[in-house]
Amino acid sequence: MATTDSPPVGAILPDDLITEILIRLPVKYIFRCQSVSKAWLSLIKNPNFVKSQLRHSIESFNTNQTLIVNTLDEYEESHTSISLLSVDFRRIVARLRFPFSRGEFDYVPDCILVGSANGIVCLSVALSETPPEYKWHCSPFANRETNTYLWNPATRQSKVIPSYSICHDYRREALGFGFDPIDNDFKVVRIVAPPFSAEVYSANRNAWRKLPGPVVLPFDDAFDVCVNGFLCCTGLYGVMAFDLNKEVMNSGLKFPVTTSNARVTEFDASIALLLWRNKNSSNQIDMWKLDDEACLRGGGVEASWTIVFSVDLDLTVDSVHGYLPRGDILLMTDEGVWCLYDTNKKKATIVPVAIDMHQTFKYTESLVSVSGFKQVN
Amino acid sequence: MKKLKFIGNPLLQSREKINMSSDKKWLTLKTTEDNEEFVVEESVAIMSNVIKNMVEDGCASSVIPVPRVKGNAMGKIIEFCKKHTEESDEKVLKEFDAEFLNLGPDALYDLMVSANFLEIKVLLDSVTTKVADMIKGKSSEEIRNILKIENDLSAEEIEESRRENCWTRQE
Repeated sequence: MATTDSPPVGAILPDDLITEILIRLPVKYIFRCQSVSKAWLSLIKNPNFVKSQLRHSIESFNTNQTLIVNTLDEYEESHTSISLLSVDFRRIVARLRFPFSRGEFDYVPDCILVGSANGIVCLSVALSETPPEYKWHCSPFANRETNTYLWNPATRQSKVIPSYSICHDYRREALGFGFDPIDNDFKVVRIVAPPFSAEVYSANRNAWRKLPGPVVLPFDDAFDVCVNGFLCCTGLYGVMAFDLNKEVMNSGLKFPVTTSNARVTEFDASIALLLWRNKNSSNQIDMWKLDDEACLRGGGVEASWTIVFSVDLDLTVDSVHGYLPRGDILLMTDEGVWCLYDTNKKKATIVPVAIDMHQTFKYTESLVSVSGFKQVN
Repeated sequence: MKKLKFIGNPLLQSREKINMSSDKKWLTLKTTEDNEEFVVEESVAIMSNVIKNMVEDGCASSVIPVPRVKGNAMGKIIEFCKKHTEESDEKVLKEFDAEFLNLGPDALYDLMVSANFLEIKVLLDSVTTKVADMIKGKSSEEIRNILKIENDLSAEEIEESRRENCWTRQE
């Protein structure tokens, strides 16, 4: 029972409690709250609020797991669309607008989803329509003019990063994106061949830097995941982890067992490895956890792994995408059907979408912006 | 003043007394604003990080004074913590929380401030989520009405905000 002399609730809510309420709202609604009062407006515009919202967004990923995917447009199959896939509901829940404004292209351009971290998404967009002949041995964007965007789909802000510094003709290209927590920096890594060359873009420097030394292309020309500031993939000599802070590739981290099917993933805040094999029409998936990141600091320390679990499935696995925090494994069967295999319930459920294995990443909403960001739509 | 006699170490003696009564440890929480006392199991009380630290540091005597929290709020908080220590079924807890938080903004506010002060993460999370759900998707006018906030923005400031954020009103 509110008495006439009890103060209005909102007037005496302390800042830290207003923050706790607002960070639980979807970003779209946080913006609307800016017109509630002066106190709310200044609170939301404070950089500390952005940090609090990001922390909560990442912490609550487990209860609302969302993946950003490049999927075939349900209306026009020749086009792809960048969408959000809910792991809990096992379906697409939102189609995102692009990081460029409507008038910029008079057709839907080809896009490659490079990665997602802290609410920032990296997207490569081809600036011309698909060439008539598709070269199977070349990367889809080989020698095509592209714009690479850093984009926050929740705040609808984006920017085009400077053009690549490596400009020679090439056939194969691998792009990766991640967040360096040490320097609070977003980085894009690009490896091309032939000849083998690599470069890295830093949002803080807003420039590309060619990388010295021998370079190895990741398998499938793609990075698997970014964990703790390491952009990881598998290659000829084992697991490779690009240190986003030192801008150095650690390669040749030996697999725990001889294998031909491996995918790097994240488990329990560590780098982990999913290995799968088909044996006598039964499929087994093992997950191994990297014991120590010492092997990633140079000095020749060998990688050591500990097995986390081993599951037998009654479906044939073509490829495994990754492990998700509550125990699901996202995988594709040999019939091209995507499934989420629940390792606790030992049950697979179909995810009725056509997604690209190398263009699927964890996504959380944030208010983070990168210097140079402009409102797009 | 009575002279108290102790046999051996007085601290040891009182600890033995507690252990003798049952396997569970009990604490008395006393709200200093209105002097209400609540006897709770230690396992329930330590859902509050503040009380947990006091117990671990050995500062908790048999009666723990709790400032700033009124008796009726304390009672509700203990009811919440008790349920959350006893029940492990997520579905049951969700239903309980929904029923428990079916309160007006003033009561929710009291609960929020107390949960924040006592550092009870689960309760703070539930209440703030509930308030967020109450204002989700509402206009700024409606939010002001629900949370009883005064509008102190000028007409120009409101207009500028609306222009900047017009994209949030699409779809």
